[in-house]
Amino acid sequence: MKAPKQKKQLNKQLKAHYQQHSLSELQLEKLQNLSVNNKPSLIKPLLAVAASSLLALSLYIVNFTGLNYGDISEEIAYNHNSQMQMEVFSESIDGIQSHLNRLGFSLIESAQLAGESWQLVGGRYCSISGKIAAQLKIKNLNTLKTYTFYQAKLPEKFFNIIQDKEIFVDGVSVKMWQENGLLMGLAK
Amino acid sequence: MFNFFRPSKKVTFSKLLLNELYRYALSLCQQSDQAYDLVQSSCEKVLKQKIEQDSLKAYMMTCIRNEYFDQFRHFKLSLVVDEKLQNEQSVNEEVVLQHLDSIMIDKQHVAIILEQLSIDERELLYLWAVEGFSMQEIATQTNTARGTLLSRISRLKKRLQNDFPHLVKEVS
Repeated sequence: MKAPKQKKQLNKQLKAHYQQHSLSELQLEKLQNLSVNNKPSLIKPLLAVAASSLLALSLYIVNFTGLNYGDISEEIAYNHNSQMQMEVFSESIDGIQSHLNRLGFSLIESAQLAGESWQLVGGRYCSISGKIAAQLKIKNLNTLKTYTFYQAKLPEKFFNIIQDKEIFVDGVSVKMWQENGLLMGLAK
Repeated sequence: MFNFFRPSKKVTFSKLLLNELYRYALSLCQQSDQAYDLVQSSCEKVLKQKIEQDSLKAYMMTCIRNEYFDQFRHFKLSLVVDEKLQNEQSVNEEVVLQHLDSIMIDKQHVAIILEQLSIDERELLYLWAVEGFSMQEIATQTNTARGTLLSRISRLKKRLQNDFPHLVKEVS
């Protein structure tokens, strides 16, 4: 016996035709498992770790491997304001050097303070960043003002990276530079 | 920048979505195994991309389409630009769709007719009848000019009437 033919609109019949076709439960499960088993890419976490490491390294280099001008200038300004008594009074570098014989480096006449306008007054031991240093008193003969001048041995790794720097701390102007492997600091 | 490090939302495939994609793939290739492979391939592609759940279906349909035409390109004839057809841009959409709506057919004859149609025609019918797309949406999905689609429908209707007069009937 023939089934009665029922003509319907094309779109309805097409819909019904495609509705008959479905994926099996097994196929659906397999496809859905693709997203479950899809492990997140390692690229992003790795990039995040790399970026953090780079940032940390940069901070380390900036803060711990370079000269900490901020701390040094604070120390120099503090010593300058303390107006400590000189241990030796002499107008010559040699005279001060002979007294401060445990410095481990030779004091120099700085090219930046050369000329007849500067006069050495005396010196004493001090420390900068925990390292032994010389604290010298010098007078500007033009202005008759007294300055505190520091010399300390500069670690070899900083020989070529130090730049002239001037920082104002507690009302004191601290100028720092490198000369002949020594860190120079002038407080006024 | 922070969006880059923000974990992307996990894409999930619902059974409804997978079945819809499967039927669309089936409308293209007419073979269940091939249709399944196309769906699987689109799922794998989506998982490698950063696709929002909202646009998932449209993206996967495009994946399926591209994959199918890439894989089975050799089945396609080279494109011939028919200037006469190109000039049929002014075909009225409403009239053309009325022609399609007026076609009556038996359930058991649908499969027979689909087998005789070209891939483009099957896809067009699927998107129109099952997905309920407008001509503009079909044009966007298939990257085909709207006028070309309307011309295709007109030709399809003529073909159905000429080749399958015993299977289809037109009602006014």
